[in-house]
Amino acid sequence: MTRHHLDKESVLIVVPALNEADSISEVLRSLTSNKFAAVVISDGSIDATATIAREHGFAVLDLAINLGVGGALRAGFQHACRHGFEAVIQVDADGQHPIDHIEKLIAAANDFNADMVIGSRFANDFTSMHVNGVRRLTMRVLAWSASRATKSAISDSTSGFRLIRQPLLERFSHTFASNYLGDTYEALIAAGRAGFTVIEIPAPIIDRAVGESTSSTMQSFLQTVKVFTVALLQLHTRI
Amino acid sequence: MDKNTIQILFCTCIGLIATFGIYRLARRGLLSFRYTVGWLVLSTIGVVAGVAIPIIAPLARFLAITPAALLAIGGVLLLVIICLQLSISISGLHERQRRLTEELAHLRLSVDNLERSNQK
Repeated sequence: MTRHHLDKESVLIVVPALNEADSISEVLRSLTSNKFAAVVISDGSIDATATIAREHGFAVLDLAINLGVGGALRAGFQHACRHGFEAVIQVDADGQHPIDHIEKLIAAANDFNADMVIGSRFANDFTSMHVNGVRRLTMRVLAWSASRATKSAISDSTSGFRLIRQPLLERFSHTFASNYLGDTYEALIAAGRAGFTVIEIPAPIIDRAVGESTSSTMQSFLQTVKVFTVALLQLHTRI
Repeated sequence: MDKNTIQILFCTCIGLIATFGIYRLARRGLLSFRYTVGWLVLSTIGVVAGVAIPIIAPLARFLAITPAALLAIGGVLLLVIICLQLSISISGLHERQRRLTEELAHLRLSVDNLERSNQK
């Protein structure tokens, strides 16, 4: 199949944000200076997230109610498809994803003709994970499961830093899970089982400058068990 | 009063209370017509369930359980079916709400863009 060669102009950066007024400016400044087209999806934010994004000159999808990361991303995917973009790159609004690695994701997608490129925080080095034992174990199990589904070595199935390319993007703009880990792990499983090419490249994570992660270890563990069961029983979203 | 009469009266009273409660909810507009009909059918079954005990007795004997237990199992099964149907409805509504929210956001963006271009 002849694929469109990806470049900066054909890729849209999708930034889901929930009450990230304190941190989003830095991310948007970085995107502006790198001349990327981006859409910010304010996922029911009650702070100035949407206003700040508009002030930076970016398109803003202001969701009236909170749909979760997956819900916000699907709105972003729809925006990309409606405006003719060939691919999207998900970037967190908290500044944890390295903007200077975006071009590496694009290059990897072109070089390996991949439908999805994951920016892996660990890339076969789980010792670099600054997480406790329970979370580390669940991440390993999910990575093993994602590797099986995609027939590709995946070390970081829950990374939100990823490139998604047409025609997978079009499929995800119609059907994309909105539950916890649905936008990361479940999306990987769905893409892999539908026969799309998934690869990963190393990408460092930057410590949050503002705020903190919202999920507790126990919550994460229970949600992980749930989503792993979903994958095991093949109940994941069909694309 | 014998045991059967007490059972019949008990089921009928519960069924009548449930029917009246559902009717009140529907009158106050808290239950849509679709769900009112479903719950009224269920409560009506409750009203006549007491009378049905002697009728279902042979089947209960065949299953080696009491008629009251058979009736309770039937009631639980009906409630499970209703819960399942409601879960399906909620899942559908969740997806529809998601689509509406997405479309609203796309439209807001289009309006913002139009307003901005008009101002220029």
